[in-house]
Amino acid sequence: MSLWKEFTKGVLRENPLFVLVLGMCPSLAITTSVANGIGMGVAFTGVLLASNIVISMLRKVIPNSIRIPSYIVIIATFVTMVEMLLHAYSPALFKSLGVFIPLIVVNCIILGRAEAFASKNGLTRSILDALGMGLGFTFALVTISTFREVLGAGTFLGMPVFGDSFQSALIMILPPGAFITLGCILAFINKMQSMKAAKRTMVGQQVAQQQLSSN
Amino acid sequence: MRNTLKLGLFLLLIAGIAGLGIAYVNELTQPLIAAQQEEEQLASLKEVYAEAENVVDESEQYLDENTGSIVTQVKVAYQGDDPVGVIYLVEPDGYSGKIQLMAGFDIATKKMTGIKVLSQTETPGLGSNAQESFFTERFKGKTVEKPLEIVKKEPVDDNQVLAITSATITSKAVANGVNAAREHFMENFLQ
Amino acid sequence: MNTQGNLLIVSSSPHLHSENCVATTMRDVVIALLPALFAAIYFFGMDAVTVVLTCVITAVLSEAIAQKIMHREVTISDGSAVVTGLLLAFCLPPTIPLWIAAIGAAVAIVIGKHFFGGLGCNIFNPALIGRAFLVASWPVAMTTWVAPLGLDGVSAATSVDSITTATPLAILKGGLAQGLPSYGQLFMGNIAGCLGETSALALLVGALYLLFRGHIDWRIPFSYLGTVFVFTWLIGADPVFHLLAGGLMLGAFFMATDWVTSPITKKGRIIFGIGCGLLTVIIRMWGGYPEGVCYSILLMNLATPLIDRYTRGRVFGGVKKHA
Repeated sequence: MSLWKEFTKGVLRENPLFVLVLGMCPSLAITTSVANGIGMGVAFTGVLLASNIVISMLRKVIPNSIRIPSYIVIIATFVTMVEMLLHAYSPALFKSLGVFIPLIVVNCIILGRAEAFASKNGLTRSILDALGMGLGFTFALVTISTFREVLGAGTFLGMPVFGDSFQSALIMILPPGAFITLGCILAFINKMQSMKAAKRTMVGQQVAQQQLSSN
Repeated sequence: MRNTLKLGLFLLLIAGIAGLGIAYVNELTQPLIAAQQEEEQLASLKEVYAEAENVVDESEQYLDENTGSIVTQVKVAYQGDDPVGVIYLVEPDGYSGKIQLMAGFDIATKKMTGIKVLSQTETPGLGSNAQESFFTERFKGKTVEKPLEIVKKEPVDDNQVLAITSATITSKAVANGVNAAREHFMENFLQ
Repeated sequence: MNTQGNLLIVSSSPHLHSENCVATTMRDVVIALLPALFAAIYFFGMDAVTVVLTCVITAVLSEAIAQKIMHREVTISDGSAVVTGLLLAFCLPPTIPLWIAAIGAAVAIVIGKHFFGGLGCNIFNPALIGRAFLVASWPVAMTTWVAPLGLDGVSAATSVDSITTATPLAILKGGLAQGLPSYGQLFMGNIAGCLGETSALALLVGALYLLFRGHIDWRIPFSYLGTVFVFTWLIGADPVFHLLAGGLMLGAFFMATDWVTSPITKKGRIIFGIGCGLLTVIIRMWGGYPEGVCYSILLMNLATPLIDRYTRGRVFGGVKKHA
């Protein structure tokens, strides 16, 4: 796989949230505003990048039988660091993300990338993988939170987007809104993919028929 | 056996390095975090009492733990040696659980200087509006001479406060809390 | 459920034999709802008419559009969308802005029904999904009530300013300084509340018609109402008041009995009704909302497959499994 593809796979083809459907808990909980989505995405990408780098470098040193506890220790270390840094330099974001920063430790995407990718691939590829996955996760969070913030609060990044007469649908920034939004997005993506697949088989059939007739 | 020991030592090594790293970052951020928390606390005190520079927690002196009062903290703001204002922490019962709020009073003018809702579990979109500034602003500058009253139409008297639409019970709970603080204030600071 | 006596049923619910059957039962449900509709118009005037029309028209349109987009057969003529729209309108306040009512109807049909696969596949009662969505989205509009026009028959046109007030259950919950209405007022429907829920009398007339026609099973409404009565009596509340106030009559007879979302076994229906009753009283007495009918039915809808599984009749003649 080319390096470029290694990077882009996380954004669309293997998007951790929309395609792999991993890391649901924070994604549903914190996407009440776009600012939260970006903040969570950046914090997540930072942790994933650091853990992928370290695990990729240590992949030949870490004994196989204790690799999972080792990964968790490494991930937890970076999460704690990110938590402290956020608390010190961005208290507002720290407050609104709340318990979901320490919970990045158990975000299955990070452990998943460590186990499935960084422990088997070199440094460059692991960095690209982390950046792609991080970008894909951030993109997914921003997509969900855009729907939720615009419909549920009538704002985008805190700026009002509608006139004063707009009464926002509060449910969208409450927990059910997260499920409704995610459900609709997943349905849309599945529809797109099945349409693509249908097209591909149709093209395939046509090619086969042409070959048959030309023979 | 030797293998187990080796694995254990390896984990110890990783955890040790991780610990060092965290200790370093902690060293770096701790003063910043502490400063921030202090500032934050002062800022929220200032929201209910603007001249809150030198505030002392005097709850032990003024509160008897066994009275079952909803007033949970009394903080006195000093200017020099003289007390100028009082900030209360009260916990009235709301529509669905306790509402925790701060209320500030000024001794010289005998007026409320502001309130701030710290935590609440009221119905989202209805009672939860109690923490919004449009509602807390309605308490600013109210007199302490008479108990506050929640009304549903534009207030006509100085001691009346307009309720939140469709959340009269929450509004009343907030007023109850403020009134408890007000009574304590009248008894202890306006002699 | 119109099982027509002793037909052997092997498929999952609903057991409809032809399109015509859906249409005629839906027609009967609409007929059964007419008394309550008249009561709503009588007590709340033109507001009731516009809200009901908005909900019904939006529901039918959304059904047609959703079915077109999803490449399904358009079945608006079977009347199920009309019933959903009507039921949703019945659990909205009379003064609800029409655009909110319309969104509720669209959500009920599209999210509540067609996202799950259309008629017969929905897990939840669509009308209640619509209502729950609106309560969470626009709580202020959904809890602003007006006093009924009164039995003296003042027409809606003359009363320019409707008086905002609280529903009987909200009065009870909040301990507001406002007297509770009498049983007579509650029974006739001369109280503040959602459009179609206020008049117990009109709802009972419609329910009797449905029971008589065999469209609903007595087990669900009676175990539901009975549980509410006994439970409120046991905890020292006023059982008659709790039976007549709020949306209990509407919910017990017209929503909990929805064939698609309630159990198919007889024992299961009784369990379903008891569950609804317990949840309703718990929400009313100790919950965050004054009324619990909507959420209790939705929660029991969720339990329906489980209830069906555990109350399924035993298959005779099978070989006993060895442990």
